[in-house]
Amino acid sequence: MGPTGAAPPHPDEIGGPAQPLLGVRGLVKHFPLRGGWLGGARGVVRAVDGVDFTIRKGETLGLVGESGCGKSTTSRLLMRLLEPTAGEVILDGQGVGAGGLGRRDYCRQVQMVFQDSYASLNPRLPVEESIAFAPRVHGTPAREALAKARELLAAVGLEPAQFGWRYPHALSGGQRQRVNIARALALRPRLVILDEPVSALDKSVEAQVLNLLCDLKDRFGLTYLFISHDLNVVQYMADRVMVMYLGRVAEIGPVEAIFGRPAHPYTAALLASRPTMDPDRRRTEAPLSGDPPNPVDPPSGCRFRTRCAHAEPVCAVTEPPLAPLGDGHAAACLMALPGSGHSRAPATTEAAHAA
Amino acid sequence: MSDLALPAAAVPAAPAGASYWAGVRKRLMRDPVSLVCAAVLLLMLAAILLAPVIAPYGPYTGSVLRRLKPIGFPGYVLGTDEQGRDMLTRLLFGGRLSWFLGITPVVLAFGVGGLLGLVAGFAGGWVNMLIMRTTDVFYAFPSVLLAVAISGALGTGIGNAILSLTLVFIPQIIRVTESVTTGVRNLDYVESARASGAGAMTIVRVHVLPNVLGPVFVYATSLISVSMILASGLSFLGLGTQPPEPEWGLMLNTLRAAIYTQPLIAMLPGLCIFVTSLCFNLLSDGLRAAMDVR
Repeated sequence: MGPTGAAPPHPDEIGGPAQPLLGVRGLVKHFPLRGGWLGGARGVVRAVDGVDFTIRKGETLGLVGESGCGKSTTSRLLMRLLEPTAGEVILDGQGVGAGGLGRRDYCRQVQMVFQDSYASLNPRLPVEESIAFAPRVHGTPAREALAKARELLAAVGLEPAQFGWRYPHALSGGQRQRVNIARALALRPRLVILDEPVSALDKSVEAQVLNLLCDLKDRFGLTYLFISHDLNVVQYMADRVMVMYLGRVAEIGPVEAIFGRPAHPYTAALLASRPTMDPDRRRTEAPLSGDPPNPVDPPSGCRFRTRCAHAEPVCAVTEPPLAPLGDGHAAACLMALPGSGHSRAPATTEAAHAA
Repeated sequence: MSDLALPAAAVPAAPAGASYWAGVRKRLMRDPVSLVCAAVLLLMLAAILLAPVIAPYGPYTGSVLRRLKPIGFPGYVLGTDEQGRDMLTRLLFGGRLSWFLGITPVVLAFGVGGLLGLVAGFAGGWVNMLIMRTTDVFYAFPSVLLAVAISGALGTGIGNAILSLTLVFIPQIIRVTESVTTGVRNLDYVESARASGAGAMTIVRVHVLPNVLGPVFVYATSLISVSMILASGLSFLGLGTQPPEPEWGLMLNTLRAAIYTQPLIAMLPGLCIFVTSLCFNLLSDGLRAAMDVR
């Protein structure tokens, strides 16, 4: 699913279709852990600990992982709601932050939809006012902003005359999430971060909202970062998938590769944890046991080794880099890295020649 | 808060915000308790404002010959006090000062405490620490004791009574405002407003203040009755209002000697304080219910 020809090029378009829309390099967020009554730091929570990835123009990048793996922190870092401890974010070739793209310009191009549809709308504002807020902040006159808000309400399938003046509590969960989507689109962004946008909705509404998101993507030429813990939804929505574990990227690649040929044991375990529809293929033991380790003190070497069935002594020593597997597929596992010392690692070319 | 440096964009107040208050009024109108309380308070307010017109005598004119006459004594509907002054007149004039002492400290504390609480809640970090820990120092004392101590240290007089009551209420209002603001600040709609690139002042004005003001206002309304009782208490103790000024708390004090001879008369100022503070309390309860948007 590349960019479709339906939408005209965005006015902020710079680098052409080949340049990634968003590049993330070495993104780190450590939260100081405060303890004692004087508030001295007792350590840091390594919520996001060195993450690199790119989002191509017009694609949907799915982001999956257990709770606490750093999905939400990543989304808030990208939205600049949190200041990163280290690392850089590049939007269409432009650096972001000091000396680069300013906060307001960045916000105009990157917007976000939150999981909790009720908490993300001001209860004291009619929904059309909530949608019109961002354009007003960016200098659109009130009347024009309101007209734009009504247009967007229609675009997300809500009759403006019927819903515009209502307060959030008078709408259903699905309607509220449509309003939130309209609100995120009000600045005509290029990248929309969808942080679990359908997790709080029931199944029938979920499907409608997902279809709406697909339609809007074509219509407005959007790029999505789609965060979810629901693997089926990600498989349906995403072009590429990134799997995170304990603040790091475990595996990244095209959706067919991730779901068809998972190279990281964590991805394989996640996929195996999906309930099957076939009662004969019911599994009797949990694919993954226990909770992820404490991100204050992550395991040495490979962070997944404490729960991995294939862990070997080398895993505690070497931190696995993202090993390319071709086709943009890469996994941070020593079993995917030639010559890593793991017994299941592929043979290096020299070793193959020697044999 | 680096955000504070950003220029606040001009966002006109939401025109549709009025319909929220229309809803509040509608719900308040359906609540009989609130309606009765509001009616009693309005009646009382009208009576004390019109005291010079409707009072049958002057507030200071008395006669030793007509001391402590019972309720219904000819010419004195509510009898006379220990100096032969007409009780109805004294109560009407006394209400002016009692109401003034009840409302002024709360209004002042609402302004100062609300602002400090909002800043503490929205800014967080060391600003919050500074404001809240200072608040805790005041909070450590029971409010009656604090009011008496400050008033006693400052000396007698109405101005000092108001000042001491304001100082008693500021920490309480800071506490409530800070906790409401902290709760609102962490909600996603404030985050999404930040994500739209808005400056801190705009976010506070459009998204934080309207959601904080309601609960704090209701809390402040409930403090009016406390303020009235504390002010009466200060007058009773001889701090605050001085005789022969009519004030309900002070009247209660001077009439206490007559409690065995004319118990009904001695109770009248207390009854006024009781009814007024009860009405303010019930009205603030009704207001809280009416302002709840599910």
